[in-house]
Amino acid sequence: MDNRFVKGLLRDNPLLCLALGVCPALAVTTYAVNGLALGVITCCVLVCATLVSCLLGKVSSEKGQLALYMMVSAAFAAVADLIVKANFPELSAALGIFVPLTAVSSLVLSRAAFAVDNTPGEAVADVLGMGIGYLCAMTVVGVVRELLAHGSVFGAAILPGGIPSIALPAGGFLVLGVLMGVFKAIVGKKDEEEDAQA
Amino acid sequence: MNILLFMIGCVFTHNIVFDRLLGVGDAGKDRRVEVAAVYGLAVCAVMTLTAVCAWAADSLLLTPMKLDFLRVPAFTLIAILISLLGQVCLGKVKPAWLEQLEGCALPVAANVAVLGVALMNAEAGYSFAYALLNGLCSGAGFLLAVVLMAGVREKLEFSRIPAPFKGMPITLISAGLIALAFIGFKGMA
Repeated sequence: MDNRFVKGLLRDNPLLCLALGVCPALAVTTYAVNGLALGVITCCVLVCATLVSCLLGKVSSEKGQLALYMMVSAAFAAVADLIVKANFPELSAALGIFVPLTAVSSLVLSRAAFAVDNTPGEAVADVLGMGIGYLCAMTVVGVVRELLAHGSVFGAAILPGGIPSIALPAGGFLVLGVLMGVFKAIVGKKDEEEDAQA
Repeated sequence: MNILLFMIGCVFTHNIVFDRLLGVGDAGKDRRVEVAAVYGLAVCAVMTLTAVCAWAADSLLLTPMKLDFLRVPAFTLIAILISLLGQVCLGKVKPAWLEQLEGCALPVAANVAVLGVALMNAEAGYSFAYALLNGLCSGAGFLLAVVLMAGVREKLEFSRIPAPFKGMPITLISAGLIALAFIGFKGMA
């Protein structure tokens, strides 16, 4: 169980290794705080949707399972959207349609197959690791992009200026691509060392 | 003229993948160009129909009954039903195309861009014509993007890339360069 949890953080990090949930990671990470916020929201939707889907049990066909999982996560995404809109109107304006779109996030849907084949406990441990891994990755991307684009981290000015084009979609693609490559290089090396020791 | 500009805007200037950043993961998957074209067409069709049906559901049912908080589940259900309907129709008309989608059209409904366009229409309060055009032209933009990306990936297969950057990282970096080129359309619409 612990192993599964840690896997989601590093070797199987959903954003940086498995490339799941890429769209929001590109769209909202112009400021670190937005990345962190959407990471928290996605994590919550993921855990709730998985738990409920587990409890609802198995549907006869694989397709039916995916459709069911989509509807469950859509319901939780709608709830998350309402909560954010009511309590954090500024954040809701910054994140836009990416809060309701967690309903069909590839991260949320990719766990559907895993969730039905395992006990609720295992499935929740798996998605908790995945969700927190995604949250950390979103924050890292947000921090790097905010630093490069605006010269600040979480709103605190660090550098005198920035490169505004990093905040454009093109800059997002480049930053995320490079970060993924670097992360894979570091984690891959660690894996090799562990394999050698074993 | 406005309508023409709106259409150009949806396909190029505000391209759903390279500017609005919806469906990036799907567009970047490893596919041959022909398969990518079929997938892009399927997404375009489902997106257009979902945009129209979601508009009808929103303006005839959800908004008058003050149920607009049900938009996300309602639109998701519409997308699922349309993709299943499309799967049945495609199976009868062009079974070869259905095979290229691996026999299942449901992942098309799970594309972020499909739900994204329907939600965008509802939040912007577009009229029927604009909702239809937004669905159709954003779909065309997705088709363009997915074919472009498949072409780039085919070329990348023969390039020497550092091992950690193989796969998604280099795809994203190439997509960034395409997105940079798409900035050239800014100012047109």
